[in-house]
Amino acid sequence: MTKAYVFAAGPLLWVSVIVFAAGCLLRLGRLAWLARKKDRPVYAYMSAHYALRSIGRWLVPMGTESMRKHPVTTVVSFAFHAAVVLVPLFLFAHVLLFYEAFGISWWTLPEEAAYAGTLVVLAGLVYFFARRLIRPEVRYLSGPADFALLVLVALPFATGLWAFHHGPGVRVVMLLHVLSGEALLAAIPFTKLSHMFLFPFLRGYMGSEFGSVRHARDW
Amino acid sequence: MKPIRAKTILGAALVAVLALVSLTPAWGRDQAPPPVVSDSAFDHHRRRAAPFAHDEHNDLAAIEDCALCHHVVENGRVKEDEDSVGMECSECHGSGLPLIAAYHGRCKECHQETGLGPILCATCHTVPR
Amino acid sequence: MEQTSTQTGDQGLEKSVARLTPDQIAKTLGEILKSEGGARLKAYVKTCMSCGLCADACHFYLSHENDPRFSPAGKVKQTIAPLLKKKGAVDPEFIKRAALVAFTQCNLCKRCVMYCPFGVDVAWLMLFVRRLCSRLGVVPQYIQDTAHSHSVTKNQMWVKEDEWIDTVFWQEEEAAEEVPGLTIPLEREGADIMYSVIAPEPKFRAQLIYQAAVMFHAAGVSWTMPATPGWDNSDMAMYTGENEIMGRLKRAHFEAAMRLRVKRIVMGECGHALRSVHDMGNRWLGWKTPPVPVTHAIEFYWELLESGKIRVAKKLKTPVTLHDPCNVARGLGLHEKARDVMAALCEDFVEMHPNREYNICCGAGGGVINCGPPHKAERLAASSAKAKQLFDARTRGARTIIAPCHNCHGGLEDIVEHHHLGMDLKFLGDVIYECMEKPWKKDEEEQGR
Repeated sequence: MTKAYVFAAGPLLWVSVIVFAAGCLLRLGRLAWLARKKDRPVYAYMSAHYALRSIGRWLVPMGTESMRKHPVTTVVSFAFHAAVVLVPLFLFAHVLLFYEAFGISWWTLPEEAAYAGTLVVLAGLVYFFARRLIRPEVRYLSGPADFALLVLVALPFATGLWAFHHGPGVRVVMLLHVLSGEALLAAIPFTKLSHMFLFPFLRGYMGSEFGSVRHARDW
Repeated sequence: MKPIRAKTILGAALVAVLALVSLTPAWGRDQAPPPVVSDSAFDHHRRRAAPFAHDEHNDLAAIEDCALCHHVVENGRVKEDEDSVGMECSECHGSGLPLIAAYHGRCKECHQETGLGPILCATCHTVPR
Repeated sequence: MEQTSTQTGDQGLEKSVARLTPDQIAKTLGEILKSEGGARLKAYVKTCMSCGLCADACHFYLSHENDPRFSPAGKVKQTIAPLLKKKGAVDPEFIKRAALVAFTQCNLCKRCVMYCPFGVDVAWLMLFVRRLCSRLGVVPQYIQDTAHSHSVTKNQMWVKEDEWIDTVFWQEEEAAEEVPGLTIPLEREGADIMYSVIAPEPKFRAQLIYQAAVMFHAAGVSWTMPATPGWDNSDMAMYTGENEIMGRLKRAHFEAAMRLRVKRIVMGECGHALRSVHDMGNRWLGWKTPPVPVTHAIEFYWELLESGKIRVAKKLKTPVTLHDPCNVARGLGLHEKARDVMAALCEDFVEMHPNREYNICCGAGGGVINCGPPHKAERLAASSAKAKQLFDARTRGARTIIAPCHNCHGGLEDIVEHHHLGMDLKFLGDVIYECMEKPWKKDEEEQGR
């Protein structure tokens, strides 16, 4: 078990980080190249001003008509997205491991906040899962991959919570925690999770179209 | 038909999550507080200090050289034939992350090298917060 | 959910689909996907998180009692998403269904784009599906005929060159009876403005040309219209996905303006033509912005009223409401200017809700009304959301709907009739003509005395 953990938290972690980073860059690069070849308007109309205006708007909770129409989903969604990014990056245990390996550290979340954040992530996922099942318009659009993605995101957080509480089988769970976290990281560029890094580009382009061509709001 | 099934699944999932969250802190409460690694420089503990039974550990690990842990370092070199027994680690290692890293370096790295002993967070910091 | 029938009685779909073989489809679509399937196509389809937040934006979804198949993302799921996955290798039945969805169940109004957190442009995707279907020859017959007319005559309605000129002369004659000295200056090189209209104006609503002539005469505008192809600014080829034809049309339009050496083009009250001239056609030709500046009628009326070139004699008393057409509001942000014009003309203005960029579509745009009688029942089946909005404005007093767009007019007339709303429809031009100061009338009265 120790060997498996050491392997998972060592070489395998490198693999997943490289797959994540290279995957994101490759996909962005490919899209940028494709756009240059076949979507000339993307470059012609992209405007920093209107792109940022739109991105900014859509990052303000309740800042758009769409959000105001779905207040619960908006609140859950914002809390979820904030937590899902902040908790892993600023968890003390993660920063400590990084410090021990590379001597570099950064600000960390208080344990209470990290704990609450983890619950927010899991509760958010339960909400999204429920929404997919219950709302007909979402259910119709949801395939097995959409549900699987929610589970994939849930795994590292659920196992982390489990290990934090020293639940039964904590050794296996910790191994699972590391492996599922790595799987999640490596999956980002190749699944719909890629919305994480594509958001600013899509939003920015539509913001530019609406701002500089259509002279209208896109929120 | 379908919505009912959906709601059943959801209900079950919700119960499971709630159970996990509410019941888990109870695990491991029945243990008597063992002696722990301690240092006055730790003003607050993110995790409860790791339980550490000094003599039992060293008997089991067949450690006789005190300086293996209680080392003295000068100019980046471990001084032979000297030990720092009686000093607090923080006297050299400071506080905060460097001090924590020093402890982890002593325990975890040795456990990892020898393949003996725990290396996971929860396997040393066995008392939940 | 009952399965909607794909039996449309539309020969443009039925007969052309019957001719298709799976091999043909795979080959044709595979080629287009390879040559034209760019970054936007991939990013839009693959980034959609299927969250369903676009659903509420769509009047088809709302009018069909929240049937998920009519949500914007639901339409993507039935068309381009599987098509992309299978790299074009789909069966003829799929193509027919996709054509039905893309041509008749989406007005390309882009309201959903405003409700999607990522700004996924479903209208753009539906237009891409239309282009794919068009390459297979699967296009509703009526709109295909219109595109054919564009291709042959460079106007939408098979209007022959002499018919166009005759119609203009006829309107000039009529208008000159009312306004002494009025002319409709065809082919006047060096005029400030080229006024262009859509072919349904000379064909069905010639009085609009008459009214425009009266307005421009009163305002002392230096204007002209071409006597050659290029006078029609409309573009149904844009909506059938025949971009090549769209390019030819816009080239003729811009070249007419350049030949006449005008400073700018002023367009009549049409929405889709603005989209074609200001947004899509110019892009196809490689112009980031139109090579000749383009002013939509709303903006031009606004200028005439602001500058006092046209004065309002008597404001309209009937309570009116304003329908913001997608292509002029969401398409060019002219909704505030339209309100300024309304304020100058009307005593009693009632907003409909939602309004401005958020207005609900008329159900006719995006070439949907142009798909003709085989699809009219379906179109009206998707009109209850709009009807509710109109009815609400009516309960707050509105009796007249101003819709500064031809397609919206057609669509709203049908909705008003179908739902017995008892409202009438006007163009802004109608109201200006009705309310404007007409100096020659005073002269006549004085002379008569």
